[in-house]
Amino acid sequence: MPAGGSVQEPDPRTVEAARRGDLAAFEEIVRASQADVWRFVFHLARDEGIADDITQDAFIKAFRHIKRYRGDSRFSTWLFSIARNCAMDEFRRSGRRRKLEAEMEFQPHAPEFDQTRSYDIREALKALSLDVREPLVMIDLFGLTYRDVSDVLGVPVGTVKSRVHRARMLLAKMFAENEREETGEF
Amino acid sequence: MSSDLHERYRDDLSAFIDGELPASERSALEEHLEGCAECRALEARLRAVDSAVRLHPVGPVPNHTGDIMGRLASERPVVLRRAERFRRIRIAGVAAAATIALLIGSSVPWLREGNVASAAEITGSVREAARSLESYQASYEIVERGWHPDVPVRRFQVEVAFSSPETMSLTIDDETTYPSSIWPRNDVELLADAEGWWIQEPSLCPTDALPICEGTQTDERGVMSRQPFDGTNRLPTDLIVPLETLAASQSFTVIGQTTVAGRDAYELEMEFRDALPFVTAIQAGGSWREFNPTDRVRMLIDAESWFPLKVSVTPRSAQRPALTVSAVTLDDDPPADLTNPGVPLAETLRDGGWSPQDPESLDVPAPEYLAGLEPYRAGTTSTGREVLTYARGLTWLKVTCVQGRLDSYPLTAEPVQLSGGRPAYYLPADSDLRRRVDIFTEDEHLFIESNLPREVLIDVVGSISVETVEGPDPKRASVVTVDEALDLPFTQAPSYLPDGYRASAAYLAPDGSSVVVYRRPQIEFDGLGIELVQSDAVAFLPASSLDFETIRIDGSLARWSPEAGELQWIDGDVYRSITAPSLDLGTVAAIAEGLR
Repeated sequence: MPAGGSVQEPDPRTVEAARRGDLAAFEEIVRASQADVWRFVFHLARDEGIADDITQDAFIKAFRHIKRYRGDSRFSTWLFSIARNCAMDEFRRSGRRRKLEAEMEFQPHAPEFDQTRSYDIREALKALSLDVREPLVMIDLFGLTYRDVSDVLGVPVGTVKSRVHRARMLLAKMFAENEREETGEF
Repeated sequence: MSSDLHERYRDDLSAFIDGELPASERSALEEHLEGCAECRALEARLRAVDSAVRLHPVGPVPNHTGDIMGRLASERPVVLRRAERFRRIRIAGVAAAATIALLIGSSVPWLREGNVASAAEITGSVREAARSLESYQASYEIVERGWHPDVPVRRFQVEVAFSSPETMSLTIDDETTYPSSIWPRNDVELLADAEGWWIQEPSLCPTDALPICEGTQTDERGVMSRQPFDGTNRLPTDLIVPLETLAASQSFTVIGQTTVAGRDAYELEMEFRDALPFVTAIQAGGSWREFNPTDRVRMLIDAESWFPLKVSVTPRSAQRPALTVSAVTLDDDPPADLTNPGVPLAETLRDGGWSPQDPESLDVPAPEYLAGLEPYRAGTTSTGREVLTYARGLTWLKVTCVQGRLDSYPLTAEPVQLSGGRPAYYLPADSDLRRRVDIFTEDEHLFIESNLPREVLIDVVGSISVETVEGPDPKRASVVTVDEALDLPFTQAPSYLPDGYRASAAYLAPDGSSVVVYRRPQIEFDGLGIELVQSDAVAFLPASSLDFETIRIDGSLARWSPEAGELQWIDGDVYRSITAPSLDLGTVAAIAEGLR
């Protein structure tokens, strides 16, 4: 998927076939969406190895529970929820939970962002706390709506709205500081 | 306007940009923006952030489809008849032939069911089938698209016959309608037996200039008195049973089970690079379109005889296969006169220098464990090497012994240990060479080549009762551990490697360059694997005759040769190169960017 595109929704007939246990149909879904799920998980975990494991676990779990998908939400939203749950389980198991919980706190000065480096959006994204990074990634990189994100995160739409805005304000601040640094402006 | 209201409008700006504001709030905000320069400036900044996030380059993403489906398949019921010995079957005959062609013709979709055998079970069954097959005859139809802009589709009829272990004929008749008669027809004939090997094919001519190639010319070449299982004129046996293509269960995915002409068949999927032994078998001579290593290959394989019934190659960017090979008739017990047409006596045959000998008269230490193979030809080569060979069905093993002179083992070989901790050196197969293990005694160098799987080959070599010693360091280079090769002041270690690749060999070249080779341990035929070379104090990229594209790696200009699969760049005053013939530029660039 190109950067900033929308998550591809599988054909409802393919989903229905997968619900009936058709492994080949499920493979089509895996093939079409595993890259999106991996990237989403990578933005949460920031570790390729962990993203690999969680992506696989998420699809295994999705296949086992696919009968429970009733089509109330978009399939990609349902898949992202499973991937996010798998990530949280993994973090809990591996003791990363505490670190991530600490990240959930608002970080006004984004200490990990190295202002001496040139304009680097990936570094800037990493520097955001998880609670604001998560909705921004889903909206900007995967084209989810505020309603979709609220379903995945289990928070009200208003919370999604304020977190996305906070994320963009922080990024704007980082870029402004970075530009001043580069141009020598104080 | 109150500052509270102003703040509320500011807070709505992101939702406004995302199109998530209700219509009434949207028009109120638009009205506010007209009169508020501060909010307009903030809106512009937020839009800039938004597009920077949306458009930031996305790195390569590993493909876990095979792993996921493998895990799911292993949890499901297995329907393959386990360990059932290959039964002699005959599926040819006019009626059956017509049925197979009809059922697996290119317009018929792949059929699917949920239950599948595991890749590992298929690999085991294919090995057993390859060991049991004594003779075979088949005809295939090939449809190829995209070979040349003026020739959108080419069609071929293929006839194959085989008699174990070394007699084979392959005839490819080009039935394409070309724009004019000057276009070369891709007719190929290959004949081989224990005496010789001979091929006739169209002259090599650049595809772009094909109409001016005066295509009536054909080349023929061959060898008499040939060594058994000689790598330079090998037999395209993967067309018969894809033993080498399906050697490692990690290199393909089982998609499902289906029925063809009343027979069980499995549908498999793999990347083009992992299907090379099959594709190069069908393209044993002549001119064919090229594929990308990561293009998709689907194979429908008979679940009892393990003959491929249909194989298609689809470029990643395309929906329709660009190459389809479909079986029309298959017979595993044809009359002898069909399978042994004999190699023609021709002036173009060179002398292979093989001299047959009684194996008892040779001084070659023989393996005690033969993995079910039987003694076959023995003799000496024109350079005085002594050779023992063993064969059964399509499977073979060749032991070559060099007395007195200790050649070095190949630099890229992986050190392995035989039983009793004896040192040996393993070299995986590629499109030219078979799997090989080198061992050394005080005064002998033995190399053992085979199309047996890696672990079986190592067991066979372990049963040769000689005390092996460390091999001489190859060609002035010094073999080191991977850590040593990557611990030099100028070296960097890759933080990213594609799925399944592990370091398998490392050495320091005579000029001090550090070289590390990464391979997928059970999977071969992707050429070298990945070779990482790093050299200190180099100011310029070396001259080369290859064609290049220029790309940027971490701020440095790098040159990429698609022909060699090589990316080279100067990082400060350090030369770095990554050679990976079976990977695409995106993956190689990701490895380069991950050097830390």
